[in-house]
Amino acid sequence: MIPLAESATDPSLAHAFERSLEGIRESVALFLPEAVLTGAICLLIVLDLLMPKRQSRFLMFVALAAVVGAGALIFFMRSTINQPLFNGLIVIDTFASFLHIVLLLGAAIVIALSYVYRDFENRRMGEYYAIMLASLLGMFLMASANDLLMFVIGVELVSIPSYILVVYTKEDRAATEAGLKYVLYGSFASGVMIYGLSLLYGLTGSTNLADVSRFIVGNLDSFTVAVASLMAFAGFAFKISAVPFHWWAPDVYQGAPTPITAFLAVASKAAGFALLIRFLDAAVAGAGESAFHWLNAIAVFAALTMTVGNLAALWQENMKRLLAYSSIAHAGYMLMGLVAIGSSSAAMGGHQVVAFYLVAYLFMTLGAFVCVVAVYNLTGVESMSGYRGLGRRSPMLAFSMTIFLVSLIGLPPTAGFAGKFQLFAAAINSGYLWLAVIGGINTAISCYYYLRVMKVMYLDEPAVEPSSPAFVLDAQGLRWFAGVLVAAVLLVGIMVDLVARVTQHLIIVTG
Amino acid sequence: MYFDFANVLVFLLFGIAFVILNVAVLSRLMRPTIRQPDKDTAYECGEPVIGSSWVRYDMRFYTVALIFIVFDVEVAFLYPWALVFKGLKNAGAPGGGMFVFIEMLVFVAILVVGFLYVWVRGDLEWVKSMPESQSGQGSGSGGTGERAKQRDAAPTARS
Repeated sequence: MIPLAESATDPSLAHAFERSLEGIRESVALFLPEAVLTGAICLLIVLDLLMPKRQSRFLMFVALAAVVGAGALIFFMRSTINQPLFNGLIVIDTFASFLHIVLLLGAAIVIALSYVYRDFENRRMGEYYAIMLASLLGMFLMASANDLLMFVIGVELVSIPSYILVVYTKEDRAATEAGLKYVLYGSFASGVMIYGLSLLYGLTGSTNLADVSRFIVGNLDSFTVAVASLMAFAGFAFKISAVPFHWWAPDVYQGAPTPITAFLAVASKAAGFALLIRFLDAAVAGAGESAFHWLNAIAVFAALTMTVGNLAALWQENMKRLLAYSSIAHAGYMLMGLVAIGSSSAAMGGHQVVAFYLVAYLFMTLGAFVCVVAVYNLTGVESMSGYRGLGRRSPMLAFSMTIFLVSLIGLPPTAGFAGKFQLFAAAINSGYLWLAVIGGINTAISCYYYLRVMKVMYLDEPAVEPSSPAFVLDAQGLRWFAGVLVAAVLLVGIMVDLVARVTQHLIIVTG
Repeated sequence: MYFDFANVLVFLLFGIAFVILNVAVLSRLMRPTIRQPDKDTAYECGEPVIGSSWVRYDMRFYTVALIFIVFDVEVAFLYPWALVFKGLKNAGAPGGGMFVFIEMLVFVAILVVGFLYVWVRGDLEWVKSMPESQSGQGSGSGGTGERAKQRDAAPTARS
């Protein structure tokens, strides 16, 4: 750091200060997508204050425009750039840009889903979108963080708006309870993470990830480093809802408004994985053989996470709770791919396969939540009983849900299969056959509860008499919404190359 | 390095032992024991206790505290900035002064958006009855009261 007051008198310090300022000035142009989001947040708040409540839902289009604009800027400005920004605070590389696009896709779908969600009618929505974009901005920082300080700022900028979004329907007791649990677990997890990161800072004397990486790689066997990293892992594991930091997920997913549940399940998790991958990449990737017990630890967490998630999902009667446990299980599958983080093979490296799986996971999970919203909008029910006879009441919705569930199981020809295949292959290639076997057993277990939903939809008698006018559920636009996501799931599944060609060229730059 | 921490540990142990010895052992042995009901009440600066200490605080205290923190932190950022800004001007950075100045303008502008928000939503009005203060009625920018009333009409709870 530069002692600021002396910079005027000492020419060398003034020069160093000049350089750091120059770095900031050069970075601003490349930071434009984030600036667009920030501008949109302010604009949304001001517009929301000026507009009457009834029209505030149309601010969705402002939020959507910001997301599309940021996406276009990233695509045209940053998609081939690999360089640190703001003197190494964040880094823009292909991995970050890819994650940014994935996050924007997820956010766009969630924003559109919020527009039609029943409980959000007659509510002030401008600030809702502003808070969501703030959370998205935090995810952006998480995906491109290159400094321990940025880790903390990113995680907090994601968490604090998420707490508010969960209780956005604040007269709903389930939502407020979920929000309180989320705040308590979340602050505890970030507290532990910050403590771990501060230990790492104490050990290395630098917050820059490149310096920290150099130190960790040289001291992989050190007990202190292991403790500090495990504590940091608590924060990441909370974000990706990995065992043993998954306790919040079922309650929060069930209590939160469904679009927010989808946002947490997809975007928040993707950002958490991005951060975890950045940390692991810094700690393990250059270490080679000596990092094996770190990878073993990841493998154990992966096995625990998927097993706990799948076993707990077996008994769920509430659709959102079931999808919550399913998302815990999927976090386990993705952790399984991370054992290949140090792999020399470019196509089957840990972060490439996880990035691919995040795309598949995005489409199938959001698709399932679109169906949940459609059923809830029409019947007001989120439990399994609302899905009885859906195959006859709304054939297209039931068909879409079936495709999403098939993809969540991981059967061809869906995106879930393509993604899972790569995860298993990566684990086996890295010598973790036992982990792949556990993953296979888990997939078999997961068939039961996914297929049970299909059975309820197609074989069970509908809750409503076929003669009653309420029998036919006309999901209207949501039907087509789900249809588009079905197309995406199938497209990613069939034309694997299309996405894999992009993900295989993802590289991480540190320093 | 670990030996330095051993000093801290020894210091800590002595401190804990000192407190336990004085408070729990010596004081207990030497003090007279005269029980009085007044001694068990909460200490309110020597005055007789009024009401229970388990009271609910007005939500507005939290809002005001939050707004205070935001602008308090803003000032905490402004001071070092002002210091650097002076040095920067003296060092003669080409156009650097302007860039740094605009940066701070952006920062303040974002905070002003937050200030506008609390102002228009009526969180700065203190003297009001509770339901009205939530809806931000009569917040000074004519006509917001009517809108605010609509805004807070309770939406139906989830079934």
